[in-house]
Amino acid sequence: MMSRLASAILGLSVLLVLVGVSTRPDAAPAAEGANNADTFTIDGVHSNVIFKIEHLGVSSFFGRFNDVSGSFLLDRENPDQSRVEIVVKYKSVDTNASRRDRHLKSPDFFNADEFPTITFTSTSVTPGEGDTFKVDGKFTLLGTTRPLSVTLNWIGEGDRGAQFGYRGGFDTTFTIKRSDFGMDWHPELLGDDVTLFVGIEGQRR
Amino acid sequence: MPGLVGLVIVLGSGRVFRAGIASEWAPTVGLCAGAGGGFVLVLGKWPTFPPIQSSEWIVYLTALALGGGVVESARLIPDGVRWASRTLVCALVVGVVSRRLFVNAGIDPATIKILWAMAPGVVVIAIASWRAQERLAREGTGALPALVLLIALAGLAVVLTLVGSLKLGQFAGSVASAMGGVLAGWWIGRRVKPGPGPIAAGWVLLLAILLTGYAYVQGLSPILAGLVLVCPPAAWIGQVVRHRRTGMALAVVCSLLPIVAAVLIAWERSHDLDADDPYAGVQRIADDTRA
Repeated sequence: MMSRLASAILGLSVLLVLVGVSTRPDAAPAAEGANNADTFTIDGVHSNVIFKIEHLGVSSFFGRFNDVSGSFLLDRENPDQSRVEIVVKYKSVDTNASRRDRHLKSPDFFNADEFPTITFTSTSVTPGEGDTFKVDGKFTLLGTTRPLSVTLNWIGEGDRGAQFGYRGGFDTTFTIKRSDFGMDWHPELLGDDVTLFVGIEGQRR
Repeated sequence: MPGLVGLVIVLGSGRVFRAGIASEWAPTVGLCAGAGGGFVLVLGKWPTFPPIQSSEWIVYLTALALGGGVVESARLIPDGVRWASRTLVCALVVGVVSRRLFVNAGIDPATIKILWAMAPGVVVIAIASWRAQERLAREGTGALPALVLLIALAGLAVVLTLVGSLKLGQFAGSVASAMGGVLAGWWIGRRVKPGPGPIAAGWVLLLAILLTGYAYVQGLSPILAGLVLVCPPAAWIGQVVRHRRTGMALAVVCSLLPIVAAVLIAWERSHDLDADDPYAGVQRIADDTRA
């Protein structure tokens, strides 16, 4: 009896391993209802862009942008045909202090009235390890565009019912030097490195 | 530094050249060199050409101000040429500052129409205010015109700092400092008088900074911009109605009135935000701990 049980457990284990190996994803797993290629509109309410910068050389300061929009295309059969475009409005900067927000929007920093948006537009997408994608693109800040490479972590996707529809999302973290984009005023007050934490959720069109 | 540059150029030119000849160009060069050097110090770098941000264009507009000032101070130039120069300079300043507004408007026809309708009006206002400053420069006695411009620039520096742009406030402060150096050079040397040239150059720079602030600093309202622009006409009125006892004191007081009003309004608005906004000043953690 024990040997039959052991055999059954062994067989089941082998079966599970075989199933796991055969369905191991190379890239994002296709959820039920997914097409070969899906275009998603970014849901600004459930997407976040948070920035971190060194203040006075003694601490890390965090702020956020509340207006995020754009779209992304996930092509499962041809991942290199996937695309991402993210647009963030400077005027939505939020650091929990109105006067500081006004100063950040002035020509001293973000110059929000002269350059209303930060944009990232992909130029190539390469599948990486597991659910990651290496995305090369163009990052535009203060009217200056520079190449930027980021690693996107695909979180998941699926049909979330009538209220939310079919959804997918990813996140990424990357660091830029603000002086590369002409935002180099008072480097003794604020660090040059700015880290951006981006969490995106989109609804399939 | 800007004041020192203006002072050295005015004093130095008075020793090297004849006073009459030096007076035609030295104060203008001193003002523009001092102001331009101040702009570069504020930015911490020489901006690449062509600049991307309008605030960086102001460094290059210093050359335009220099040209406009030299034309104004040259004796043998006909009035028609002077007016053409003023119109061109004002149009260029408005165009450089507002070009980004047209780009941002994109293909929105309604916004483009509004911008094209407003631009000539802004140029006319700029020329009219220049004319008021120029009349004061030609009819005013002694250092009054330069002093009025100094008051307007210093007031603009304070207003811009209060409404949210320390950078542009420092720009205006640099021009004010350079004008102070030019005035000090004349007062010390008594040879090279600041005539219409540095007044015109300083006014061009004031317009460039004011228009940049008006276009891209949210807190600089039409009222605040208008109060700064009305400073020379107010001084001119004070000079017209002056009594022999008051001399130029009445004109100076009249020029101060709109600037004081602008500073008070800007101060009020700068404190009009969240009452508990911690960005207003340094938080005293120690005091809180002791309490």
